[in-house]
Amino acid sequence: MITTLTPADLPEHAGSLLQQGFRLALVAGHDDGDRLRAVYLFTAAPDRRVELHVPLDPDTPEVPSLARLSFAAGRFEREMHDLFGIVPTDHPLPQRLVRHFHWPRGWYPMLADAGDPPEFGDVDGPYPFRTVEGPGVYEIPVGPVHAGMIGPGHFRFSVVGETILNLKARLWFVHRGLEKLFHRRTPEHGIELAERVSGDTSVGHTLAFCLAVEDAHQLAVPEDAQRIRAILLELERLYNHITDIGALCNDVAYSVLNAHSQRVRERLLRINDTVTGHRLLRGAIHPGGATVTALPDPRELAAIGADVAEIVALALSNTVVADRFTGTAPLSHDQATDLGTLGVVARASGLTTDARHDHPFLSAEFPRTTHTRTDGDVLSRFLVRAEEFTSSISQITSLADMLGGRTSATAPVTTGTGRSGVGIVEGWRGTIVHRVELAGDGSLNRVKIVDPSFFNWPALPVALADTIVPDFPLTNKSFNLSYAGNDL
Amino acid sequence: MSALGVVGGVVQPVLIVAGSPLLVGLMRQVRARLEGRAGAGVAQPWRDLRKLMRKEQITPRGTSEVFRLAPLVLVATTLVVAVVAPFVTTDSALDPAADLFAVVALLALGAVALALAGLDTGTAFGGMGASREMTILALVEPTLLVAIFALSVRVGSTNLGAIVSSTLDDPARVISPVSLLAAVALILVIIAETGRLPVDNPSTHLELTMVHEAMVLEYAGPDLALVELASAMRLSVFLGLLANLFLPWGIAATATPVALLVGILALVVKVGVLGVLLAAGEVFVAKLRLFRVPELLAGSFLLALLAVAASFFLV
Amino acid sequence: MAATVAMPVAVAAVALTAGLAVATFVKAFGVGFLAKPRSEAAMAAHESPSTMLAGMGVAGLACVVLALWPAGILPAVRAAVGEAAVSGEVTLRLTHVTGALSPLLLTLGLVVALVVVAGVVRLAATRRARREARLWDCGGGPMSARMEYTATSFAEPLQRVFDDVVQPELDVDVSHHEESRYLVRAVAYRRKVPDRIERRLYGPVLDMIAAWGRAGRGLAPGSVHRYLGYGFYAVCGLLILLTVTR
Repeated sequence: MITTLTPADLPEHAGSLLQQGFRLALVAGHDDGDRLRAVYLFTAAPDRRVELHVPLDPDTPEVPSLARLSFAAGRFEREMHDLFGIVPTDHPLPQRLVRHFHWPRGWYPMLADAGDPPEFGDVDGPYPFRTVEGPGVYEIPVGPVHAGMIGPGHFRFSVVGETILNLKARLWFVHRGLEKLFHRRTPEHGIELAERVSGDTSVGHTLAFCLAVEDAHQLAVPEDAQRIRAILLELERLYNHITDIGALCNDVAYSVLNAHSQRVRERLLRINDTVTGHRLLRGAIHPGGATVTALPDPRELAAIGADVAEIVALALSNTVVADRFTGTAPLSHDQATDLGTLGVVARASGLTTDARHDHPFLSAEFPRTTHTRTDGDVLSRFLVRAEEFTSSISQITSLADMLGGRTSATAPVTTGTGRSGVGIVEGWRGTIVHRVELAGDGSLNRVKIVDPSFFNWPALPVALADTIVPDFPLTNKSFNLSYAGNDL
Repeated sequence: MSALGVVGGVVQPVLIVAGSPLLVGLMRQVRARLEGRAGAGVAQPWRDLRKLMRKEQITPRGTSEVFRLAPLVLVATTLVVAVVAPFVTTDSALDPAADLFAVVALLALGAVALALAGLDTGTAFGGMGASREMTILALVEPTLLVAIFALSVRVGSTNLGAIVSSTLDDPARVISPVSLLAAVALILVIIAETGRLPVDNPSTHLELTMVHEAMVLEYAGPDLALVELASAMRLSVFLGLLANLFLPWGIAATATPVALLVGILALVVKVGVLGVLLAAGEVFVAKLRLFRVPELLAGSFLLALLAVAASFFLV
Repeated sequence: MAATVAMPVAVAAVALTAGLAVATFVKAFGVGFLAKPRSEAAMAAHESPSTMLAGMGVAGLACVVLALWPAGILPAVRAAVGEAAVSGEVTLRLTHVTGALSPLLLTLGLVVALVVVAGVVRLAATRRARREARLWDCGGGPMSARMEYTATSFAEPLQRVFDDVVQPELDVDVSHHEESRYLVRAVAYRRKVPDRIERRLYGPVLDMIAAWGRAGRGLAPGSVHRYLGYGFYAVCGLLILLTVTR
């Protein structure tokens, strides 16, 4: 459902949607040539989607800020301001978000006539980190270069001794201009970009992109193709969840379990290779269908499931590991709701958000995974992953059963008069939303990507209140948020 | 100063300097194999040291002489302990320095020098490491003193050589309550002091959880080589002391070549076995939360205190 | 028997104090003298005149001499306590237990070891000149004085360990924007470590004495008649007492 509004009417409409239980899933700026336009996508379970389109005044592109209504809206508005120059009026925290201080003022990379980036300089001075008042408080700057294989992010801790008083995460160090690269490509050529939005979420982003394109074309995809896609989505969940389980053990120096998790991960990556010909599951999903070379062997997956169950049991039976996980960095149910968290983080705090059930693309229904612990601490996030691992294996097994050996299904791609479409997918981190707008010739005019990490990053500092410094790496790992998916 | 002492004073430091990187290599190899990894080989720490020695010397801007001298002091203090304490021979080259209090003070001096160097860098990590190290040290030193003091009470001497000789003369002492309590306390303390699991993770790359590694984060090249060598030597020294205080058999009491050879072999075997046991144990433990460490150390202090009390009551 | 009970406790107390003293020394010296200046005032600091340095220097020198040659004051100690617990010149020996310690030899040994290590490093390490480099800032740009460890922070872990004993009072004030409690406007931190001995022991004693004084004030309002009265009653009382007891 699409409604076109004037900027003045926006807060009232958005407010009433939020009142009805919708969540703000996406905000995107658009450059329509003669004027700018802001698009707000609201979603709710069961599969309801409402789009508010707000064409803006060409001379003063301004929208009233929704930061008071929704925390996520405030961040989307800052992003839109940085990329398009659309000003959110009366914003409580109007600092730069995406553009770092060395980006020149008044240059907005997503505008059609932005051109090549100009010389970088020190125009706005360093980012104004909040200083904590009080004697003896010092700051630990960590990043953007880290000791491990992590994306670039700067964390500024205000600390007394070992107690964290305040944490600010500064991201967006490597803006790649990814959304702009989609521009003027055909959807088929958009795939290679979608697969690389975030290397560990190839399937999630590609699938969301394809669903959005198919939605724009009103294309009915064969059920077999959707089943293959669902299998790939769960395979991606498997190898990422076991990586996290191992990494969490490694962060409390229980490295023998990490070694075994890595072994299981390698086994899964080899399964991925036999299924799609690519260890990170690329090249199998395309608009209109999906093609794999083989289906995963259910017996091998069952063996892996037993292996992982043993790893998890061993981890939790070690009292020191259990002690390090239990009660560490709790994110309460209220906090998780207010911040709009998604995916593993949200479910560990007792929320039930899951796009596989709220916005299903598959006609077959699977029961929701029940989680035994939803206290929002590190242990909950560990257990949510372990429990999802088990249920993903059983889903893959029954989906493979339904497919009965068929490895390919494609709907004929029509070059219809599609205009815009939305794809919603529950990737392994959480709900991924893509929204595409097509030009008259069927090429991509605008692609907006929202990774769940965009919603989950602000939850990390909130969870860390009253945590000690040495527990930060463990907490960060338990969230395991994407830098690349966040920084497009 | 006896001939035995002089020979010991030459053999011991050479053995410890040459052997301690191999001990670290052995421990890493044991751990790797138990975790199903191939491992880098026993000689890897020596290869690392050679590599570091060939790199250019780096002085981080804003640091003073304290930072530059700390690695030298660290190695020197450990070297003096290696010369004087009874590792291969019961006699010491410098008998007055083989005293229990002198040895503990020397080892503490090295740690203090490194903590000051950590603070001298002026970085958050250096200070954090120094603060954590000193917190642990403040709780470890008392236990160390009290535990060894418990052993010295029966002998009537705080000279380490005298304590070792008396155990050799009267082997039944090893299984006395005093010895057992002190041994457990010392093992806990050695784990904490040498930065092993569950107190510190020697192989972590996470700056925010490090203790020892955070302190030495600014060192590079030959300076880092010294720090690494000294850490390995401290580990050998602590394990050697533990071995000879409780299981002194094999140590050379005469200056004959055969006795010396047996002494060297005994030390290598004892320290090697202790190192392998420590490494194997580490596979099964995780790192404690930072503020659980004092609870562990308080426990070891209590054991040491019981050992002293027992040594007075059960004479 | 008393020694049997007292000795372990005394050893424990001395050992614990030694451990804490080491930590305190590192904190005081490390935070006070090392690294870059932490405040404007410290940055503008300059050396005192030589006359002031001389005074400190003499005291420092005396400490060094005493540390290296403690036997120097043994006669004086012996004169004060009769029999001293230690004897010896370079090597000090305990009188009742076999134990010896030689600060001078130990220091010499340490210096020799330092020279040997420095020499070996000179021989073994590369001959290239020392080079200056930036401190590791994780790629986040130059570090400010605010990123240096503070004394409060240095002591915090130990304070946490002895939480039950020192009972620190701390307080973190977080003020938010009106719109959302997740938009933090400011954070303020306050911590106080009250002296428990002062509060529990000195406080009550001083309060009691003050109360006693206040009560006394009522007896002495400045009236001469009343003072004469006190004298009269005291003499009468005394006379009555004498009459009765005799």
